[in-house]
Amino acid sequence: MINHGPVDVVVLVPLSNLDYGHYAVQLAAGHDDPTLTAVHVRDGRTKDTMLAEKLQRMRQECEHHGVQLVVHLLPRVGRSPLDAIRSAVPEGPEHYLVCGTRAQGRGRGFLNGTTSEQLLRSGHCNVLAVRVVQPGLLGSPRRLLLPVTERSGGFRSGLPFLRLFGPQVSHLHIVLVARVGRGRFRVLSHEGSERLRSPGQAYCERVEREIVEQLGLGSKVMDAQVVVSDEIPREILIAANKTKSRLIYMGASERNLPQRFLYGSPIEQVLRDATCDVAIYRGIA
Amino acid sequence: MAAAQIHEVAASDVLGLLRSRSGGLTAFEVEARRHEVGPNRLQPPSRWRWLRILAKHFINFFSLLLYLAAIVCFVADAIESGMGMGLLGWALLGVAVLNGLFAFAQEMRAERAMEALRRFLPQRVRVCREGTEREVLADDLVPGDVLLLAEGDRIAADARLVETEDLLVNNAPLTGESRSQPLKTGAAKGRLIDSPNIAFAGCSVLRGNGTAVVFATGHRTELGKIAALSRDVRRPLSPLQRETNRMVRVLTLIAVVMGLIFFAVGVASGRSLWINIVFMLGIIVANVPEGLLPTITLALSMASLRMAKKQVLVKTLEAVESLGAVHVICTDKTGTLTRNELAIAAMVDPIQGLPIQAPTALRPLLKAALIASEVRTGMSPGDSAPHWSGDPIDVALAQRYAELFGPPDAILAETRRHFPFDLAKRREAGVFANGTEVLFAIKGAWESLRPLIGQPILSLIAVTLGIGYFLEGLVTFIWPASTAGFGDKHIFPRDVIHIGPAVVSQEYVWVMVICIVIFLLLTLFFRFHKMGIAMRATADDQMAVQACGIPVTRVFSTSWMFACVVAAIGGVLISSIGSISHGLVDTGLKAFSVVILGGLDSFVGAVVAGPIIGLAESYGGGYLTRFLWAGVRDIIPFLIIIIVMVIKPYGLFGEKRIERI
Repeated sequence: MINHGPVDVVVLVPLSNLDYGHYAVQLAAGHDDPTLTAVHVRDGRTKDTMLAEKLQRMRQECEHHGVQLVVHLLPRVGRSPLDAIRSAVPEGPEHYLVCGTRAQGRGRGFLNGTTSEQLLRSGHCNVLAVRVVQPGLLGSPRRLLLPVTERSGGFRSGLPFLRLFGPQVSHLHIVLVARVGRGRFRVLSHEGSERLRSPGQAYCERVEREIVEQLGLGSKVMDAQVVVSDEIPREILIAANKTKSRLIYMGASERNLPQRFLYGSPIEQVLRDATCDVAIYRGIA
Repeated sequence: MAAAQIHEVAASDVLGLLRSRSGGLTAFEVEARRHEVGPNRLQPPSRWRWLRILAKHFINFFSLLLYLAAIVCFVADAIESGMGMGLLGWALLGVAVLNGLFAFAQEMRAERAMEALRRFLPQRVRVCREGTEREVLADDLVPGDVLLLAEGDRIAADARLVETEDLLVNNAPLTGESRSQPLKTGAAKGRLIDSPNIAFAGCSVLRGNGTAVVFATGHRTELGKIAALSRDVRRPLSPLQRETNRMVRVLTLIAVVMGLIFFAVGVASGRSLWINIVFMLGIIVANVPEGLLPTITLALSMASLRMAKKQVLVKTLEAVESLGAVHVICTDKTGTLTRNELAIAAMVDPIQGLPIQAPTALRPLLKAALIASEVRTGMSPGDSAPHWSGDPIDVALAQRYAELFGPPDAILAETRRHFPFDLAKRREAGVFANGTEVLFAIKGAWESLRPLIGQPILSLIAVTLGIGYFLEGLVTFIWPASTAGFGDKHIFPRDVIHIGPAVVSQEYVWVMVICIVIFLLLTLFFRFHKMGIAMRATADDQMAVQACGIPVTRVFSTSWMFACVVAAIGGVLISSIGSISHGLVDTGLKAFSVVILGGLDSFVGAVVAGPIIGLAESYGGGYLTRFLWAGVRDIIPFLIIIIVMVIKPYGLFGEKRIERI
């Protein structure tokens, strides 16, 4: 087991040029005596020179932000790197793991079948899978869009990583898409739409309260909107564009396999079409 | 160190943070990055998208009905030619195709917005790669590329400047700002879009040159985001389209039900199945409004032509409908002149039209307005004043209250229930209860609030009649004799004059002349005087007049004054011909029938209807008295009122009004 520093942010060493490592550095940098642990599972495909260059750049960035970088190169255990990562990263809600998505979907999806997806599903620790669309943000989006769905547990799952983002957040736009069937949506009256919005508005207010209480963010930085639509991903993308959000911060899908088969995965569509960075979280409350 | 975005870091750090170097990327790096981010171009719509749009407009419910109708016509023509059914079939088919093509053309025009944006990007750019300067296709740019900018260049990707020499760019394609912006390399604070060290895709270099490192390409650029928004945003149906669709659905349902009923009746009466089917389809087709869509299109086209003559260019036909509902267009570029915030400049009494300034009146008014509002307050660290969020009008109310009377937190906390703004009723409301006081407040458009307050028009009529009866009783009390005359002192001479074969008393001529003079004076007054115009406007739409700030109560008072003066003159004139009696009041009721026959809002109508009523009363009285009873002439004007109300409720010259409900 690796010995972690006071702030336990772990990052899987990014090999892509669209570098989510910026996010890991920024998340680790917002705390006293910050430490970032970079983990890489050797798979035999990544050249040592390339890995060394990546780590060198990460080390420079960490120095720039006053973050101590600890590197762990792990041997592969079994067929999947998942076991090696799980054995290296402690289990529990106080540990944060940052990973990435595929750089290109190319018919397979960005998250579908990746180690990041397995980590998100494992509930091992708090996991954030980031797709970087805007390298110029350097992991500092500040303007976040939070697509939420009505869950009995509220926004608890999103709080751990949002707490790390907290110091840099300037705007937090909460959006809840109340989904209706396509046929109904086409003939939905204004009054009908308002009726559907009301419970969503109450839920958004609850999320706002939760964020204010838990993270101490002022209500000035937050706003919420409820949209009635027949297409959730499309409305999220429109909201992101309209609010000029730099990061879509959304929860991992709770749908099981048959549901995903029937309704598809909104996350994949958002990952594919977003013009800003996308972060998929699964927090352990 | 604080978190920073690319525009906030020093120019010397940019290359390292974007994983590049001053000599540019290597071919291997470029290839790897292009593999990850794709080519630097705005994502074109799917190749087959136009086919999907075409299919959508040709295979919709209404088109299918038209096809079905055409098929029925062709079948009928084949069974019995020479009835012109074939021609009708072709006409229906033509309508369906034309409708489809027109809608397709409209939607494709919207699709071309993307093409227009793509034209902002250049074909080729100069970059530095592997230590040498070269020209490459703009599509080949990747994040980390070192871009060389010179005067006249169009910028192909979003890039952070690291070197500049008197660089001036035109950002109008992105921001709409017409003024050129000088760019520099120093770190900048604030939003990326406002940053002076970023060269944005689609913009052009007006002067100087510079070196920049690309950090966003294709749909990741700010221009790409605009393109994505124009692609993704929903274009809802216009109210006219929604209503048309609804009407078509209802009519089709009726047609189908009728067709099925006739089919059942046919089967029951023993006709052949084939005849019944054809008959049923015929009924359905006959009742479906095939010509509706072409008619609407034609009407909108004609409207757009008329607007073109008035210097208004309508590019989308649906816009005609929206423009038709607009009274005033206020345009502004938010961010330059306005901040998307509202502030209360003055509060005005809608009845008197005067500003409310007394705190004793302002406080309850603002309190009521706040009860019917939905605002939230919050205090962020470092803020000296609370921050309000909600609808801009509600926020303005809260701010005004806070300025005048301190924080309205107690009012907001004790507002127990809020009824959100209802688009149809155009108002919202709230219930306030603090244990000692319970208030229900409504806030909204004046037109929707006015009916809730004040006296209804019926009460005014009732009061008028009541005062009339009171005065009549008073007169009877003071002058018990039923009639009185002027004796020998006549107002007008009673000598007769000859007009052709007619012999007329001069007093009649004088009365007529005075009536004509009064008529002309009143016409001029109502047409040109400010108060006359206000009186006509009040009669036309009281609530709109109040909304414009015209003091309606003053208009009412003046109207009553005028009515009294005109009635007094009328009374004097009538009594000068005959005698003064209590029965003069009934003449007023006869005048009412004149107004009804001529039209309530028509002066000319009153002039024409007066002689008609007079002649009808005289001749009717003369002839009918022989057969009926003596006083029958007195009911003739009221019979005419009844007939007019049934046949022509707006009178002979009254303006017909169609009210939207």
